[in-house]
Amino acid sequence: MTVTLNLPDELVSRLALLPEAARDRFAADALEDAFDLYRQEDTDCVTIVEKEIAEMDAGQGLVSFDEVCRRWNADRLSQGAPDAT
Amino acid sequence: MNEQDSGHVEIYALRLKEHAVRDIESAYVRFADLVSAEVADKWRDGIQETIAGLAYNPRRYPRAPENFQREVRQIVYRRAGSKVAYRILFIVTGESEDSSDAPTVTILHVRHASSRPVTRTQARQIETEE
Repeated sequence: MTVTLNLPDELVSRLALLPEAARDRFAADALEDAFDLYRQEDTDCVTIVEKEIAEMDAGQGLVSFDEVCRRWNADRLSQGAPDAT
Repeated sequence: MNEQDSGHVEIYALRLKEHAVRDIESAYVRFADLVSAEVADKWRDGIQETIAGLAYNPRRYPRAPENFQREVRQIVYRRAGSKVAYRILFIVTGESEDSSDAPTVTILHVRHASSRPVTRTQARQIETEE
């Protein structure tokens, strides 16, 4: 299988320094690592969200949006910045 | 808009899981560290506006691609022209007529689109794209 990628110039110039066989192996390894990471991220996201839904159903760990806005505005004012509202 | 026969527009209550608040605050701190407090403030103002917009017809946003047991939706927050994107994952509840709760949007989790921490280069993009 041949994959065509549009790579940033900086990365292209660095890859060009490698022998072709090493470049192919490097690219295949990088794609495999990225794919593993993608699957892991997917799993992590599902785990976090399902836990948050279970807590939400139990009425735990919830805060109103208004309260969060108040916190952030207080945070901003404590830093001397103008109020966002 | 989710209009009823009377022309009334349903307004959904908004709430966040504390975990989601921490997600946003972690990103805010990272932007402040990597770029500046001003840029971090603007980023947080933007996500605040985006969340506020979910009070109106939140179902116009698509379902998240992951296989969740419940119907979890997402909105992607990205400042204009920026490549730095965050996914806001939320759930809509209390819409059925027999529900004792008001229609509500709950923000469950906020994550960088790649989930990896934003890099210094990405953070600076927000600054240069102001």
